[in-house]
Amino acid sequence: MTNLLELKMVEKYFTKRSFLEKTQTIRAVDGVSLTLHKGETLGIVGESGCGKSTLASLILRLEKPTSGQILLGGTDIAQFSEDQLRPLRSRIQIVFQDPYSSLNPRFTARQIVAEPMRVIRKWKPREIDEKVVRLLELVGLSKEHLHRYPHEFSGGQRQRLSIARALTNDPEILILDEPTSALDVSVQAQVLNLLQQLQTDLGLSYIFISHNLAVVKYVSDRVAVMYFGKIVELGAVEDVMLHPLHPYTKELIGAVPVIGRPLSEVDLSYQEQKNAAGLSAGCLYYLRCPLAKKHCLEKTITLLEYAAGHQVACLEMENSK
Amino acid sequence: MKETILSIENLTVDLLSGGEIRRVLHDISFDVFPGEILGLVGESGSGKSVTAAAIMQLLTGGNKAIVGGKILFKGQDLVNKTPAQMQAIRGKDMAMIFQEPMTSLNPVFTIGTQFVDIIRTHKAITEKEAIQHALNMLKAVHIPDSERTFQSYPYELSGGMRQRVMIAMAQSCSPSLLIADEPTTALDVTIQAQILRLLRATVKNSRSSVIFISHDLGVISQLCQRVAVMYAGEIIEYGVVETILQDPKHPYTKALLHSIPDFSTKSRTLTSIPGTVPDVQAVMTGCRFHPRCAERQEICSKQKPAPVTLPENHHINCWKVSKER
Amino acid sequence: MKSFGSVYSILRRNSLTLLGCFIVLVMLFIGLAAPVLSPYNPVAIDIVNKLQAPSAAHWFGTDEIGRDIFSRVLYGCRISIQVGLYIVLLAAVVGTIVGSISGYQGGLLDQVIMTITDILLSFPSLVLAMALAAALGPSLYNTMLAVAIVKIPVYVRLVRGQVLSLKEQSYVKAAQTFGASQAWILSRHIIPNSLAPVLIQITLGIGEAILTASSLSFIGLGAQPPTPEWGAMISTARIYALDQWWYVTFPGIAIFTTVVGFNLLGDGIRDLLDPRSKN
Repeated sequence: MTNLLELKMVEKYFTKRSFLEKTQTIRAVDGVSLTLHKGETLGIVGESGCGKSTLASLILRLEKPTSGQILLGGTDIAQFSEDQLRPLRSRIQIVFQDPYSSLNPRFTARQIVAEPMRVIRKWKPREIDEKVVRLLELVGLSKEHLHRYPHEFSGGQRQRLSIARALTNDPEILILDEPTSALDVSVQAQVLNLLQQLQTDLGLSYIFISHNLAVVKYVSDRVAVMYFGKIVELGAVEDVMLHPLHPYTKELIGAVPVIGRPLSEVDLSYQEQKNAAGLSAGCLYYLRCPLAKKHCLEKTITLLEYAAGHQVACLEMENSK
Repeated sequence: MKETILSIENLTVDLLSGGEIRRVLHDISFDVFPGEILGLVGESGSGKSVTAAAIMQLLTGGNKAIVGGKILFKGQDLVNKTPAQMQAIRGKDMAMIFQEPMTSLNPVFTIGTQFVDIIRTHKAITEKEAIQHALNMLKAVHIPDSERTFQSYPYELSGGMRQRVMIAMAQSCSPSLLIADEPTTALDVTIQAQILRLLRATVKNSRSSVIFISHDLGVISQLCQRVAVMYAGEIIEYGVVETILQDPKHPYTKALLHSIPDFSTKSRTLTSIPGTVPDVQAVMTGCRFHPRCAERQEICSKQKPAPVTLPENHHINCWKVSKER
Repeated sequence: MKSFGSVYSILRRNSLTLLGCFIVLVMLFIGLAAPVLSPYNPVAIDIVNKLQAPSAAHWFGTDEIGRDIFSRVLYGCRISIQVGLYIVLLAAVVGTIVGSISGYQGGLLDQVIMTITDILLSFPSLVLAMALAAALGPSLYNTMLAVAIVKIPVYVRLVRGQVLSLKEQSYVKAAQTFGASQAWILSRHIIPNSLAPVLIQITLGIGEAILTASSLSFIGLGAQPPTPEWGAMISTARIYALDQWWYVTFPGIAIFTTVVGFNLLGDGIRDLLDPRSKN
């Protein structure tokens, strides 16, 4: 299988320089490596602060990584200038989480979907109009929606518009950043089904970012679990979700409210959320980890293959093999 | 007939919005028993938050918005209470926690200042006693450094911490009823699990009752004993959680369960519910769900379904169920 | 966009706004139709009839060289409205462009522009306008330019604030992902969505602009004789104020009415466009 997209040790650090305080470095993305194969859906799960949205920005090159490589079809775009990126931009597109801020309130549906084509300036007006109608129908809207404004659509319909817009220039990769998190559950099902249909019909590859594990399990082929900028576990979705290896993945899965599964009886004390900040080596999950040992703070932890295609970044797991 | 802490009878609420009157609650009825956690579940437009506001008498438009029915709190009808009377009840005997911990705490005052304020509004004690009480409450919700949190501003705390503070404040006067309006929706899933456990323990210790509002059926199943399923301003199914979630009778409840990706089993297709929630102004005859219902019959569009009661106080409003009996 | 129905209902509810609207419309009409409405040529000298009290022949009386004050007030309306609009539109256009580039680019450019803006804003506006007008030379045109320059920083700040928050909207990021240029994003996405507060500021600012320009003319920096500008008229009328009350009064009432009218209308438009003042 071809690697459509490959990230190698991508890092994004933000330095916070404050007049009276020490300079703080926030490692939003801290050495992430992953690959996306053609036709697959790679899920990325994590909680707030794990860096998944920053990762999306980096893949789209809305931001430049501090270091590392981003290989799009073999070409490293990590340090490309805007001019160099422009011809490649149509290959990766994004659908955002918030149906309300992802559409310009002053644009009609037609203008919204047509915009990517108009930016490229390769199309004639009539071709654009025909394609817009086709795209609207593809996502389950229709011609009569052409001249309506975003506020006239429901949340689910707005997400469909966002999807149509993302498909305008025939992308290969679609990044879906929590596309259904702001929608009602019954609407979510509609949009997820639509996304799966489109993937089959158009041969798209997806990166599906979410904090909702059930949704990620439903849509993904493989999944990466992120914790404070690093990937702690990566593998086929059934392997990771049903046989999790990393203690954090286990905690995450244990916390998902599943119908019929009772709330576990666990110590009620406040669990420290912040990572072991300031540590240059060692595991960021140390403060919360039931398996934590001294050497977890001393050695560098990397993602290592535990079983076929299933990688985990944990010294205790390594040792238990 | 068990004694109830709260008894809602045929509550109907109209709200004025944009110059128009919209009926947001249609004749709803349910009870809350002492020491139980009752879930109120529904999607947007179901009226669950309006129900909470109505109980607290915090609707915009005040009492005028309630056009029918009774809200019996420990036997007394809250609809007839004056604002002054309600103020004495709110915060003391009945408390509420909200979804967005960022906006429910005043950003310009420390936690301690706000907490002491609340306590002294309802209890005639000295400041020193109030401070001690506040610190005790913070410890009771397992906040590690209660003195430090007491002196902090809301922005210095994480979302999970703020919700713990909210729970502490809500419980500080030992209310008989706590209304929790989506308190964990904005939190990460691991934090949510912690807060849910905390809520359950708090309720067990204090014997207060809780109305837990959520759109997440998983959370409801973990926390609540009974649940009322709301759709478009009505309660369409109401009963014990296990029964309703494992063997739902109302087509909406069934469809809802089929549209959620189930974490534990292997993948099955999600079936979506066609159409959308009816417009609030829409005046409909018959069952409010019938246009989207896969099992609708002719009578569904004509008459409102008569309520059916199955064993164990399982109430459903549906013609299909009614006819099967 | 709001329907006419809601615009009308807001106007009806707020009678002050309706009054403001009425005044502005009357003033606009007068401004346009001054040549037709004036009974006399505003610069026609008639020494014989100088300093006459208001009468049937001269509704507002005559000035010290016999010119009909009524006609001069009507023509003055034309001048003041033009002045007000010119100042405010120039300031708004320049301010919007500078503010949006500054806000969108950020970085050093933004810092520099903000520093200049802050320096300009730290001067009392009238004083700064006087200094600029004096430096450019006394004429109505230079006065308009001076006042406009003084007003630009207000729009720069206003638009920059809007742009800073709009920049973060997902639809702007989406546009970036399809390779839209900065100019495209600014002109199609950012500026159109920042216009509401600018429009409010424009309507509120016209009244102030007219007042400032009149003030400058009053001290001799603006309109030069024989231009029938209200401020200039009041300036000349000062020495006759005790005995010939009409000379000072009518231009004064004209300024007052016009400015109040625009301010009331501006308040009303703000209520209309400001989403927070609904409900």
